[in-house]
Amino acid sequence: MRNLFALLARTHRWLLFLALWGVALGWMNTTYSHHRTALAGWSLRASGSWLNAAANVQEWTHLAESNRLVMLENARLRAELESLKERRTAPWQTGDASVLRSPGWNGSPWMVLNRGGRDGLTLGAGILSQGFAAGRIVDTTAHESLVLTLTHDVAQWSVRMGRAGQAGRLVAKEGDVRRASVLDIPWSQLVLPGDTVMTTGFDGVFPADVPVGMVEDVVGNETDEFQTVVVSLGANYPGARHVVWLEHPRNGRLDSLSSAPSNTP
Amino acid sequence: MSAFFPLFWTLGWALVCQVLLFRYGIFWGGYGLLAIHLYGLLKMPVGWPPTTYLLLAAVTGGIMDVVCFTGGMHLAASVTLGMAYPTLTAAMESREGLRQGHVLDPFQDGWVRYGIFAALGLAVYWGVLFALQNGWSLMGRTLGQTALSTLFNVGAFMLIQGLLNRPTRGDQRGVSAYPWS
Repeated sequence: MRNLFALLARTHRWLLFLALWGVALGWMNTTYSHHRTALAGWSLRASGSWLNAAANVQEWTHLAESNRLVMLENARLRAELESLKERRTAPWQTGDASVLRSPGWNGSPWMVLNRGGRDGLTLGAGILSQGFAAGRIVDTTAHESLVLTLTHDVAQWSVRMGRAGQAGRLVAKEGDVRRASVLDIPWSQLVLPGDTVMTTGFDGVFPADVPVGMVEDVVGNETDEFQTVVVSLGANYPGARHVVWLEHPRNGRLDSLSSAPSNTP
Repeated sequence: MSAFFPLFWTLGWALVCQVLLFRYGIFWGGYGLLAIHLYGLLKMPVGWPPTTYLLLAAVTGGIMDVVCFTGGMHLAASVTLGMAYPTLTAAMESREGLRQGHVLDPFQDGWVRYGIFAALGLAVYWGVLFALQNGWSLMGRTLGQTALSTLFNVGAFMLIQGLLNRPTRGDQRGVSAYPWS
């Protein structure tokens, strides 16, 4: 309080000046209609501008929440769409989940979801992020799942160029969460930047023709038989917040077959 | 108190003259106005507390507004002049400086120095008053009115100085009032 008084004492001349100007303007406001009109106009413009700014700030604060709701709705609709698409052929189960950890954080190629075994997720289920293939579930707890993503350098995925092109193996580029390489594509297959890379459905994780990404570049020596296609992954791992899982009863059967003791020689 | 009396005397008659007579002195289509009461305000001595200038100018402007029904315009202009007054006097300091209680006077400080001082004070006053009166859309008119009225009043103030503020010799005979006489 003493500091306040000291401040007032220091600035009393300016405060008095402003107060006297306020009196003068108020006086003019009551005397002249022109000034009254002008002052009312300024006041309306100032208050309008202030209210507009306040509304913008409020809208901006709600933007994150509305964005989250839109993404949830988007994930739900994608899940419903996949369910409708697959209803005639195979009973793919779908659902949505939120991302707890994502590739790109701490350089880890793993993704962790907030749904687990008690939520109906089982090992082998495919994961879609924004409509693009993103990985498969390799472990679950009661309410969390671990996803082996396309960015993991030990995993390989069966893909093809377009809907009817040559099939190849998609392998990750170590440390890169945005690009991967497709190997074993013969030079006879014409591949151009911008072509879509699709899943083949051979590995059972995803149905056929789920988009994986877009061709970014083609590398390799033409004396070789095969070209290496650099693919820009469609799943935006660093920004992924909601994903869709796809599960087919065959996934579980395949997993149990591949991990059965009888398959060791 | 001794410094207040001559000032109030000068300010008093200047105000009365302005209210009764010179308020009707409007020339050249409103571009040349007289403000003789400022002659009194510009007689405020050097070295007073700045707040005193502000209050004295505010009272003068308030009286002008009340008796001339100008609704706060003179108050705003006077307050601005009162705020700027210490800066104006400081700007007019000669090499020797200004002693406490000195009143700027053409016979002591020189006609040019006094003319510049009066012109600056008048320009502040008229600038604020005409700006409030005309608004932003008539800024050109404001500048023209300010320039012409300032020059007009500087001439009037110098005339008054020569007529009423002539220095006297020891035998009470007047000396030459103007530089050219």
